[in-house]
Amino acid sequence: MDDHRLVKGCLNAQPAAQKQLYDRFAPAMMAVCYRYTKSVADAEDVLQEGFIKVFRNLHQYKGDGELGGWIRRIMVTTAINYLKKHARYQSELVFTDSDLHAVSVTQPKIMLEAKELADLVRQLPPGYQAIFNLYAVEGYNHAEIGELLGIKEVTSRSQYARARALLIQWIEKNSGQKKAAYAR
Amino acid sequence: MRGEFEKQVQERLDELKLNPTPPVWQNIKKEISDKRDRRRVVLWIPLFVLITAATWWLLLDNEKDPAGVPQSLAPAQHNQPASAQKRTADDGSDQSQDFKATNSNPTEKKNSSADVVVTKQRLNFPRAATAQRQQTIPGKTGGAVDQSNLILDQQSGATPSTQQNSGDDIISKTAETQKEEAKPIEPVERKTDASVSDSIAITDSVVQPVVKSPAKKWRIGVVGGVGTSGMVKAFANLDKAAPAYQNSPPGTGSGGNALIMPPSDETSGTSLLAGMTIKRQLSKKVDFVTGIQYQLYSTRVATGQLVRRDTVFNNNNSFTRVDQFFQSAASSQMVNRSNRYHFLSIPATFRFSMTNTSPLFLQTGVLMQQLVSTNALVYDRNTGFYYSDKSMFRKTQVSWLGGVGASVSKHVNIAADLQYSLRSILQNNRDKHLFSAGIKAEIFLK
Repeated sequence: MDDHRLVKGCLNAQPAAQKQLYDRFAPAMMAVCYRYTKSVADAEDVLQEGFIKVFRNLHQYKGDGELGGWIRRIMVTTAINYLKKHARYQSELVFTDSDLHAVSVTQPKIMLEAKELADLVRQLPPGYQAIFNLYAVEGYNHAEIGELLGIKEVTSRSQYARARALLIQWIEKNSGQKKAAYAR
Repeated sequence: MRGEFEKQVQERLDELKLNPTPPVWQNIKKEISDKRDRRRVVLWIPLFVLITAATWWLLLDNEKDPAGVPQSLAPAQHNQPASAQKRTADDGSDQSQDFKATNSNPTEKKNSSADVVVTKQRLNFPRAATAQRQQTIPGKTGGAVDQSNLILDQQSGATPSTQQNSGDDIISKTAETQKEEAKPIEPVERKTDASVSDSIAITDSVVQPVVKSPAKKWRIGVVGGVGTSGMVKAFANLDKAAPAYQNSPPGTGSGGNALIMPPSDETSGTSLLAGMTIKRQLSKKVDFVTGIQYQLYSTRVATGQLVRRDTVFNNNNSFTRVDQFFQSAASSQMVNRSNRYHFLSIPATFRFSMTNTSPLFLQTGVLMQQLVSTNALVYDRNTGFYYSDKSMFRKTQVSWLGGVGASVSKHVNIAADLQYSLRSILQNNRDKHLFSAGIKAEIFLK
């Protein structure tokens, strides 16, 4: 079933179409939610909340872009709102204006699997994690991130630089360990 | 600046796919269907408002109905054309043959006092209609008479058409009196003259208002009651498809775990009732009673202690994630909990008086009930634990109602009621039927 028919079926409240839409997009969206949160349970909460929004606002989808992209934007917004709402994330989401950090020019080759890389991203502090995901993966610019998180653009830029540096450090460390393991 | 590193990260992370656990879809599905259910309730609201408005309109309509004027007569007399009024006059004169005979040719024949006698006209007509009737009489009798000069004066009796007649014979009326005709009619027995008093008498009396029997109207009142409620097995069931497994100890079945405790007995609790009631008499012995009521049923169940832990319960592949549940009653310190069910109900009851004079009555009928909320726990046969899952309850119930009562006074009834829900309250268990027994009082406002 193509996207158009799938959306039409969901708008007509057909359970089969709703299940099909969920089955088609849930794995990718679960991965998105997983990157923004610290536990699988939280990721599932975000996924659930996000899909409920998807089904309730499906009439707003005009079909002018990819359905997957539209759903993904809802998931990202839901994840950010979830981080803002829950105390366990909120304390670390408080951003302070920091000195500008030059973006490291290091461009390491990533030898890790997707899951391993995602797990490293999830080890970043929540503030870094959100900004890194928004900038590096979703493709938002710092002005948009600033607006989304309610912070200054310069803060977003600074936090991203720190997150990137930290992640490169971890990737190199993990890649080195992997290489050593392969060598043995 | 997005560089090679960002591209690599994006590509690598876009490859990632993770499968969520089944409860996620179950919860999403439930949320979506709940929304549909809410829409359904919203659709019912206008219907309910319509029924309430119609009932109210009927009540008001009955109140406006003028008791003294039969509806079939009063407006028709007002609006009748002249010809019809003439016919009416003729009809009236049929009752007094002398009057008709006298006025059929007044110029040729003197009206004798003995001739003009109009008695016992039906004066439940409005005064104006009566006047019109009287106007048609001279018009009819003296066809050539100018209406503007038609002076119907009781004092002089000098009208063009009746100059030859004895003034005493004439029932007259001036234009001024016509203006006064709007005044409310009073039963008056008028006699024209002492000399002819024996013969000429127009009796505008005998007003006998036709009063509608108040018993035929809708009567509005309030109702309140208290009793006991509980859960019984099916002896009449609308839910044939539902299994009855939940009461059987899960550990005793094939493949069951003997360590899992069976559900504790659900004992009876308090039931309450409050609402508005309306009643209409259908016949001397039968009344119809309806209205809208709030009803509370409660039962008591023994559980173990509360455990706060994220848990997924699987009930026939319907997954429910909860953050707390209650242990089995025997596995820890026992806690008595009250399961409360809040309903909005619309009864449709027929009430049969035992005799025409007896205040006692029997009643039977049905209740349409909507479960508004509940805090009731559900027993999980796989674990023996109790947890909260509102989706397990049937929201719409149909109950049988029966009982006996008495009219204490014109406005107060007292009745003892039995109610039995024809549908099981739980979707996965056909042996959970709510019942209640109690007394209730109705107070009618008028």
